[in-house]
Amino acid sequence: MNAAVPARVRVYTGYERLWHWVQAASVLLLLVTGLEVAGVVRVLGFARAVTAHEVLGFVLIGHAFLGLFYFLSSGAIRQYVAEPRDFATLAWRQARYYVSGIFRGERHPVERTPEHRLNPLQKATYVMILNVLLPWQVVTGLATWGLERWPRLEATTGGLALWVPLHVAGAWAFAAFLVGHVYLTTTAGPRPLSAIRAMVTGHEDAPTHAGATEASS
Amino acid sequence: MSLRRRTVSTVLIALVAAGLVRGAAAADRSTTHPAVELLDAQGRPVLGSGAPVSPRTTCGACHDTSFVAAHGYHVAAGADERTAPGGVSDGRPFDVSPGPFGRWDPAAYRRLSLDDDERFDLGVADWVRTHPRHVGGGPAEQTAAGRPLAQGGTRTETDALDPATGRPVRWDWAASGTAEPDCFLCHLATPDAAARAATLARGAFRWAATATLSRTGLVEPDDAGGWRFVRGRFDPDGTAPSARLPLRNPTSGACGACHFEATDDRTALGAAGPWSPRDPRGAGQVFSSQRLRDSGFNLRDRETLDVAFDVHAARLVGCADCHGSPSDPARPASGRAAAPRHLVVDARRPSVGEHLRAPSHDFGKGVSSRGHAARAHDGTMRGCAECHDVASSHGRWLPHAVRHLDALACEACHVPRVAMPAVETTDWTVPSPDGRPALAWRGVEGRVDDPASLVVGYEPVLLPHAGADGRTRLVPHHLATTWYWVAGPTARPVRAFDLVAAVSDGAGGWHPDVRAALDSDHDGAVSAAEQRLDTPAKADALARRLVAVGVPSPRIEGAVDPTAIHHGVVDGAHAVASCEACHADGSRVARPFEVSDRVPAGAVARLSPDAAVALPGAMAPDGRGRLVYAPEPAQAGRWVLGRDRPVLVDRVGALALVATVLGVLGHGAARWVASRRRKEAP
Amino acid sequence: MTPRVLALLLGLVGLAASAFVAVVVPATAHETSDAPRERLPRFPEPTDHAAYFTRPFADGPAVTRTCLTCHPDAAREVKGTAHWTWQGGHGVRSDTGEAVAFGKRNVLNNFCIAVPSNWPRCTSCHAGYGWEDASFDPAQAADDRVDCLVCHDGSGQYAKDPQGAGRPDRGVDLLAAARSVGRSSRATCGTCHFKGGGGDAVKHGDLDETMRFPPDRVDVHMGRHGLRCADCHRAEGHRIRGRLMPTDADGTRVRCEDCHAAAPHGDERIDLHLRAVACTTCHVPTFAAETPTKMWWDWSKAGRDGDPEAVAHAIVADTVAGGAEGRLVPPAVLALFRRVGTDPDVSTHYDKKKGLFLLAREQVPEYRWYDGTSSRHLPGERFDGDGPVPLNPPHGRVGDPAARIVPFKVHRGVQPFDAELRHLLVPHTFGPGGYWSAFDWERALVDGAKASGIAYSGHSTWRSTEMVWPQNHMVRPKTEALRCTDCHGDGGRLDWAALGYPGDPAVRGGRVAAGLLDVATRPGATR
Repeated sequence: MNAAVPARVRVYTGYERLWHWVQAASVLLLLVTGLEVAGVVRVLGFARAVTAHEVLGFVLIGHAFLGLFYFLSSGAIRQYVAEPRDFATLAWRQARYYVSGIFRGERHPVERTPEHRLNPLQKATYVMILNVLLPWQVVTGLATWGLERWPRLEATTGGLALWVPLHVAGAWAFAAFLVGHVYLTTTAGPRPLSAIRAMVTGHEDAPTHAGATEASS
Repeated sequence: MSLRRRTVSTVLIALVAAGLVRGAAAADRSTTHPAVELLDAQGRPVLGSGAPVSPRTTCGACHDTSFVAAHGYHVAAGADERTAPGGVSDGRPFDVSPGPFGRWDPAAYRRLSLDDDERFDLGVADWVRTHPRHVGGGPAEQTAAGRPLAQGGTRTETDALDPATGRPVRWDWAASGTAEPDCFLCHLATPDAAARAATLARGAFRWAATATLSRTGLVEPDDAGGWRFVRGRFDPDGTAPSARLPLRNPTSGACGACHFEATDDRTALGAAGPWSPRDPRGAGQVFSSQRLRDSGFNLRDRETLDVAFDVHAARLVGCADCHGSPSDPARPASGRAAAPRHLVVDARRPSVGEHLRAPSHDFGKGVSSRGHAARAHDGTMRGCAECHDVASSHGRWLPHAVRHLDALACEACHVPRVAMPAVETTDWTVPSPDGRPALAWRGVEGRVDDPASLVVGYEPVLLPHAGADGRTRLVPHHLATTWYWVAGPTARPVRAFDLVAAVSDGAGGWHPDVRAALDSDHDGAVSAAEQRLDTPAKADALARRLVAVGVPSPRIEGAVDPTAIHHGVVDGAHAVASCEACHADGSRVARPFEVSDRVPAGAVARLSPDAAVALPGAMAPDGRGRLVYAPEPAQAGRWVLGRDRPVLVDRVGALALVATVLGVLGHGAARWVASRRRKEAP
Repeated sequence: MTPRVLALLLGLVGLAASAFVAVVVPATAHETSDAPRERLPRFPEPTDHAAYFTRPFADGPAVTRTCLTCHPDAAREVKGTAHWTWQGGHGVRSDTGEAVAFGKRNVLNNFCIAVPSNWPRCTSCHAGYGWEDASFDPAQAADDRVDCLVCHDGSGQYAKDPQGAGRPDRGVDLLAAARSVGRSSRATCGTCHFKGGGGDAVKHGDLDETMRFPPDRVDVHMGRHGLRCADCHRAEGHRIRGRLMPTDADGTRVRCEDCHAAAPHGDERIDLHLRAVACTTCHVPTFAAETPTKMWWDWSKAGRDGDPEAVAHAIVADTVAGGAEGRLVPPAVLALFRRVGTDPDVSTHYDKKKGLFLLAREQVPEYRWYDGTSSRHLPGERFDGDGPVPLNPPHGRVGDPAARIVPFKVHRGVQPFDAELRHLLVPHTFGPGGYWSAFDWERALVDGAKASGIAYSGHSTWRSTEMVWPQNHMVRPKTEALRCTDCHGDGGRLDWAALGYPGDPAVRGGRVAAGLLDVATRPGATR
């Protein structure tokens, strides 16, 4: 192969990586402790599982706000904003890649750079996750937790019988997202684990072929 | 006159003193009550007249006995709330009062007859004879119209059932007299409830209060069915010495003479024999300071049961400490409902003297789960939170304490088990030829009257019940079922007389038709196991017999009656404290509870209309012919984390997850195959 | 670059994990910890002495000399302790104001009464050899007079001659005993302390031969948990902690709190009792669990001939009937007399030498306030009071916040008293010319006065006395402990009025609420 030393590109800042992994750990642990609260598994014991679930929930919420502040102040929020002009085309191209191109060894339709690291489908997914699913879980979770503190909430909404099913529905959605998300990282880089490594180290091996500029233009 | 006044003041001073050393004195056999002169109904000393003792005049010398009778639901027994048949809210169509007098109790079975009953069953006289737990007075003295019973009234008030013919005959009220409210029954340290019950059963109502005194030695039965006074045991001035007639505040033992099994006796429970509670409807509750391990009962794992039957009794809290008189100045009325918002306690209380002159006997009560007599006094008892700082004792360790305390009554965790057996099924469909129903007990392995049977107790079922504060919480209950025949278009219960006539041959044995139907093993006898209508053929045989004795269109009904479990409380160390007891599969809040050991052929049991509980979930016969209630708290809006799961959401969610996983696997596999292929083809 | 980032991530994950643990774990770790076993003393592995000794020993002192070759300080240490000096108390005579040093050597009790004039019998329990008579001075005695074996024997066959002034019994294999030495055991302590007063279970009520191998129900410490005496009576330089009825607080009291938590019950209501009630009050519900102990010793009935059972029977019958025999019988003992014959736990014994005994087992203690100190009836001290002479009255009042209600066995008796000088007399009982051989009270009292130095006017009378024995041993399993209703409510075992309460404190409040504490000690009084 070409003997050129791959240039290493910085894709994620330190805080972005920290944010990602803390949220990832929170979500995973929330799913496990949530299973125990639901009585499906027995690991910590019910009381500790409830406490852990509550603490993790607040960690997740607090950290989501910290992240929001970071993304807003650093401008990285733009990563998530879909460009309306080309969105349909780009999304179509991305979808086509997943359905057929990937099997033929085609190039990833979007070149990841620190400024543009999300493909249109990702953008759409993350917008949904962060703006719909996460708030959904936060609201239903807070309501479940807060029935203790706000008795009127129970009187007006009917209590756990309403909030728990909604929260559980969100949990299933998160679980499904997690599976898809982890799988799709293997499609994002030159090698299956490059994207995960990038999220750990912050750097990604830069593309080596010349065709890169072609594809992205 | 002046003597009277002096007596009054002496009594008051003595009782003030008694009030000061309450507690110590309450449990003591000694008394500070002065000696009293026993008077008859005319106010004459009984030593002279030889007439029955009248508590009304004897105690009335100092205390306002008519006030006491008018302010005592134990006297009225519901009679003061009498209505026309069917007028009782949540009652049965033939109930005439919400209390023991006039409300039909399926298990006790006898029903006060209505004037339009074709077949006369229970008149007032028979009610008094068969209800020795009634303290006397009220319906035992007066007609519904408020006149003395001797002056006549409705057929129910004037007649009694002739046990020979089953027809009503006139009761001779003039001969029997009436039973006055019997102060001695509760206030005497040594009452003889058995002698009183026997005297009532004999129909010698006027002697009932005198019979209560039989253990004092002041009275002896005479040959004429009455009682005579033993002059030598009275003081020379004719008073009954207080050493012989110790009068005092009622102890827990006094309440226990009628109410389930309450005792302040140090004699070990069960030392005298197997479990035979004075109140068989007490659902196995025991209020006693004794430890289970010290009792004489054959309890399972007895050596390990270090806990007292009731922690309150063990710590010297008696019945009256929570169910006290509302006028007792030593016990400020519970609840703030009566006081304006800016007051914590209304300090304007009766003085000690005023209370002793006219003590209210409308004792503090909770909200009953069965029957609605004296509803005006609901929630007047001292509740748990009036003594206990629940927040400080639970807040430290119980997560979401507010919600737990909102959803659960204290007893739900603090009565984890009822120690003693309870009557589960009362089967009146085939009474024995001597007129006793077949009983099935829970909480005992073997016959309840066999001292060798292992007593295991039972875990109560948690039912939603609205307490004094109006909030519905899960309260531990016992559920008992009664099966019985009803007849005719009015669906009134078949009277016991007809039942016995149907099953018996008139000589104490089984009627041949009934025996033939029930005797499955053809040994010529009807065993306890055979004494049940478990097949349509047997039920038909009984129905034919009932028709033969003149009962039209008989059919079987079942009534499920709840008894709330508030006694037998254990302290925090022994209460249910494991989260997993409820927040897991097999949760305590949803454990199936057997409500009857049998279901007669074709019969359906329903919750009694006067039950103040809900039964969320399903009640249905199981595969072994038992009636089982399977609670489903979610139906009552209670979601128990760790047990309840949103089934539909879970199905859809799982489907989505599985689809994602399959999609990922398929896609990944396709990628792998494609990349292999690309590598092979250069 | 990469390692640094990985380290950062790992650190963060670790931080999050520890925060998680910190939040979640404490939820369950809040139980009160009463771990008494962990607070027991740790003893070094005992040295096997078997190999050191091969040749037989001539006598006890020979053994001691051998011991001292390796343990040169041991005799000096022992000789400084009450086990050796039989002295250690300090009292002031109420009649003369004179300071008196006292101890077992010169004080009077209401069992065998006193040591002087009866030495060889009494000193069979002395931790030494040869205290024959008044001439023996513990301070001057040679080091080899100390008896090492009586406490350190492990062979189980070492015993003292009961009448031999502390010398070993004939037939004891001293070599075997010496080869077996080790830590003191329940058996070695028990040789004297189980049999004080001349026989098994006589004195204490809570110490007797059953304590060698007690069942759980008799003593939970020594039974279920296998403790030895020295686990609580910890020793340093042969000074052993714990005195039964000290006259002063010397700081060597053995306390339950040495091992147990101060509020161990997990029940606030019960823990509150500890301000007024000793642990033993509830945990020693009865004393003399198995073997009957002496409750009454009436010397005045000594000297009667005939069948002892018949003599006892006659005395009991007359006493119960209110006759002259019962003139000096206090009410508490009269109640016991009434139970003779009907209650299998109560029995009598008559001995011509000693008089009439009442023995009883499974007895409910008497309860008194006790602050850990007591007085003594000092030798020759004038007593002008009425009623029984208190030989060791415990100090303590309801008003003293340091006092606790403590269970006592009260041993009552009748013994010689000087009618003129008004003090208790010492009879010469054991040995030639003693009462037990001559049956002559006058001679016994004269001889006893000579030996003890307690004056005798020549006019003696009989006087009833009482001696209290706090019940600290035979602690039962907690399931046998007293419960609320044993003391409170109808028919409880405590006499509230006698203890100084206005009524049942469950109803009237404890001594703080009822205002019974001394004013100076009430909270806030001194601030």
